[in-house]
Amino acid sequence: MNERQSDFEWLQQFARAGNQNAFREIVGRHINLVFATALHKAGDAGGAEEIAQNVFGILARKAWQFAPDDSLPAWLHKTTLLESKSWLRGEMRRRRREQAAAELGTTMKTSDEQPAINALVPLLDEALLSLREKDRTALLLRFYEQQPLNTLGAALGVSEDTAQKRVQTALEKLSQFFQRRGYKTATVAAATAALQHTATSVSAATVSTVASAALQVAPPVLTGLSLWLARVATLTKVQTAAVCVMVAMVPVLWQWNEQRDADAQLNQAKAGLAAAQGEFSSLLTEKQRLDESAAHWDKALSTARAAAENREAMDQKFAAWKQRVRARLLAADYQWPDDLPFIRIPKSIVPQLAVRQPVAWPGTVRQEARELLGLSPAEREQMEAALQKHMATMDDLMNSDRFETNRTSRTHIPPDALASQVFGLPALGEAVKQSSDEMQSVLKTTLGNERWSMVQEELSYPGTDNLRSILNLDAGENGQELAVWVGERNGTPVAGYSWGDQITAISSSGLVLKFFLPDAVFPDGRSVEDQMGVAQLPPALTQPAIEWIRQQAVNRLQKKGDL
Amino acid sequence: MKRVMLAIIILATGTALFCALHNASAVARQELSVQRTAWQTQTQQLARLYLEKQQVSEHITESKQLFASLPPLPALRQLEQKILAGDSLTNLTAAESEQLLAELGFNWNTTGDYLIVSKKSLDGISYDAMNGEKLSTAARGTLAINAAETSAIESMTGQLSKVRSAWVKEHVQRTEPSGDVVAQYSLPPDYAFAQNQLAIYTNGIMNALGEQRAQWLQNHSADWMMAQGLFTSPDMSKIPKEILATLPSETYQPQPTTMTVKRYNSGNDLRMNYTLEQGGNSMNTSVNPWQPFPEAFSALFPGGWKDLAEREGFALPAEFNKKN
Repeated sequence: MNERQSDFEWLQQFARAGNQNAFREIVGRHINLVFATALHKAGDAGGAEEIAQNVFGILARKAWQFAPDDSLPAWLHKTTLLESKSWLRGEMRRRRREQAAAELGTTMKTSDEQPAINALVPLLDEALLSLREKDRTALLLRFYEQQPLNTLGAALGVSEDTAQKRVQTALEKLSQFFQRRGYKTATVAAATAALQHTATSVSAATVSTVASAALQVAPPVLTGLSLWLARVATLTKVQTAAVCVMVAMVPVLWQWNEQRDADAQLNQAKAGLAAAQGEFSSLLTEKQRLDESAAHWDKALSTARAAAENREAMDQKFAAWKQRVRARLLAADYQWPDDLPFIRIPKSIVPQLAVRQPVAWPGTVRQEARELLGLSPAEREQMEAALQKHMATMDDLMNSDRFETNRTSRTHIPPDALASQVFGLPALGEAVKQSSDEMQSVLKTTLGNERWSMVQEELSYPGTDNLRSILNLDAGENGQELAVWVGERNGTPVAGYSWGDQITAISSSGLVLKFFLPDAVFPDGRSVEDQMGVAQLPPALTQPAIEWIRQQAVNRLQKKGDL
Repeated sequence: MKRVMLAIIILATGTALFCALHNASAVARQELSVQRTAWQTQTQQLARLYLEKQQVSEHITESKQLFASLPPLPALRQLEQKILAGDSLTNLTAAESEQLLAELGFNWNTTGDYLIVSKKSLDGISYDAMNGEKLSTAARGTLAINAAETSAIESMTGQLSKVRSAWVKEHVQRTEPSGDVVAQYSLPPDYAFAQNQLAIYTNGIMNALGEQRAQWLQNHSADWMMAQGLFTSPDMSKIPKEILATLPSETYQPQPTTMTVKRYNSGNDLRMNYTLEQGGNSMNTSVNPWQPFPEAFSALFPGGWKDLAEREGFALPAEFNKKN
C-alpha cells in the first residue's frame, strides 16, 4: 500500500464512516507540507497555522471527492498556495488599514549567508507547480514531509531507487525552471537547499489544533445518494474513463445498433424495391405483350364480326342477284342476256351441238361438255373418276403392247421425208371392252337415261375428235399407228405426222422443227400436243412420237447449227 | 479536474458519436421510409398490374373462344365479290363457271326444258349455224333468235345464196377426168365478190342480232361462209407471226376452191375419196353416203354425190347402194 492509497483509505474512512482519527492521521501526515508551504508564503507561523486550518478544512469538506489515483500532497500543496494567496490578500488589506506595512519586512528574516537560496524561495511554489504531479509529489514528500526514500518509494508505488531517481529528476527540472527565470547559478543543490530551507516541522499541539479546527467545518457522514456520488467521485481516471466510456457507449451502441438496423432495413427495402421494380418491369413487358395480343384479337374479332356483317349483307345482295339471274334465265319470255355470263338453250337442241374432244387425258370433262350435259359438281366428279380409271387402264394396255417399226400399214409418210418412225398398237383385245363397259355403266348411272342416250350416241360415232376415238373404244378390235416424219418445206425443216386406224386417218403437213428443240416454246404458249393436233390421241403413242421428233430436232438442228 | 475533463471528453465524444450515428440513423430511417413508401407503392402497382394482366389474359382467352365460336365464312368470296362489284363475268374460269352454276342451282335436273350454259362455252361448242340459206335450229336455240330476227337474217342469206349460185354457175371450171381422178371442179378466187358478199352478211346479222350474238353466229357460220365463197384465203389472224413467217406466201394468197374425186381399190372393194381445197385448206376424206357433199359446189349438183356421179359418169362405192 503506498502513501497515496493510504491517504485515500484514510479519507474514505473519514468521509464515509466519519472516522475523525483517520482525518487526524491525514493531518498529522501532511501538516508539515501544508504548514511549510503556508509559512514561506505567509511569512509568519500564525498565518501559516490559519492557512493550514483552512486547507484541511477544505480537505475535510472535499474528502469524499478524492480518488485513489489523486495525489493528496499535490492537492494540499496547490490548495495551500491558493489559500495563502487568499490569506495574503486579506492580510494586505488589514495591514494597509493598520499602516503597518513597514513591519512586514521584519517578519521575513532571511539568512545573510544564503542570499541565493532566498532569491529562489519566492519562485519555489511556481516552480513546483510547473512540475508534473508525480515529480511535485515526490519533492513535497521528500523535503516537506522529510520521508526517507524507501517510504517515499512505497508512497509513490515504486522502488526506492526509482523514487530517488524521480526526486533527482524533479530537482533537475526545478533547477532548470529557475535557470529559465534568470537564476543561472540555480543548481540542483540550490533547488534542494531551497526546498530544505522552506521545510519546517510542526508541533503536535499545532497538529491537534489544525485538525480540530478542520473537523469543525467537516460535513456530516455521507449516506444515500451523496454516498453514491462520493463513490463515483472517488473513481480513478481509468475507472472514470471506463464508466464514461460505458455510459457513452450504451447510447452510442444502441444508436449504432439502431443505425445498423436501419441500414439493414434500408438494404432490405432497397432489395425489395429493386425486386419489385424488376418484377414490375418484366410484368409490364408481359402485360404490354398481352395488350398487343388482346388488341390483335379485338381487331380480329372486330374484323371477323364486320366481315360476318358484311358477309351477311353480301349474301343478301348475292342472293338477290342470283334470284334476278334465275328469273331472267328461266323466264317464259327469255331474251338473250347481253350482261350475263350465262345463256339458256333448249334441251331439244343439245343433240345438235357438238364438243370437239369433250374429254381430255387423263379423263377430264371439258367445260363445254360439262355444261351441255348440265353436270352438277358431284356428277362431274363421278364421271371423271370413271373416265380416268378407264383411260389409265387403256394407257397401261397400250404402253405394254406398243411397238415401233418403219413400215406403215394405216398411215402415209411423204416420199420426200428425210426420216420417219412408226409407233404402232395392235388390237388390245377383250380388256378394252371390259374397261369400257365398266366405265359406261358408271356414266349411265351418273347421268340418267336422258343424258346417257346423248352420250351413248356420241360414243357410237367414229372420228378422230369424237369421244369414241378419244376413249379408244375400238382399240380392242382395231390396231392403230402413228407415223412421224421429218422433212423440209421450202428449205425449212419441218416435222409431220399421220395417224390412222381401220376407220379414220388424220395427218399434218408439218410444223417447224425448231419448235421441238429442248428449250423452245411455241409462240402462242400452247402444248406440243395441241400444236400438233394430237391431244386427242393416246399418250402411249404421242409421247414416244414427240420424243422422236425432239431427238430429230436436236440431231438435225443443234448438231448442224442450222437454227 | 482531469477526470472531469476526461469524462467530458469521453462523454462529448460519445455524444458526438451518438449524434452522428443518430443523424445517420435518422437519415437512414428517412431514406428507409422513402424506400418503404416506394416499395409499398411499387408493390401496390405490381398487384394492380397482376390484376390487369389477369384481366387481359382472361379477355384474350374469351376473345379466342369467341373468335373460335364464330362460324367460318364459306369460300366463293372472290367470285361473289367480283359479281357484286359489277365486274365483267365474260372471262370466268371453268371452275368459276361450275361454281356459279352450282350457286344458282342450275343443272340438268333443275332447269326443266332448258339448259343453262356459259357464253364462254359457246366458243367450244360446234354446230352449223346455217342450214342451206336458213338458220339452223341450233343457232336459233343457242342465240335466242326470235322469229322476226330469223326472218330478217334468212331473207339476207337467201339473197346471198342466189347471187352466189349465179356466180358459181358463171365461173366454175371443170377439168376432164383422167386416171384415178373421176371428177374435178374448180372455182377461181374473186376477192371483190367475196368481200362484197361478206360485208352484206356481217352487216345483216349485226343489224338483226346486235354485236354479241352476231359474232357468235358468224363464228358458227364459218363452213357456210366458206362454201358461199365469203373467204378467198384462210383466216391467218390467229396464226402466230413466227409461224406465219415460215409459211410459203401462196398459203395465204387467194386460192381457188377445188374439188377432186379419186377412186382406188381396197382389196376387191371400190373406194373413193375426195380432196377439197378451199380457202387455202385442204381436206381429204372418203366418199361415203354419210359424207355431206361439198356445199361450195352444191349449186351445181343439188343432188350431191349422186348428181355428180351421173354428170361425170362414174359409179359410186357400194355403200351408197346399201344405204338406199
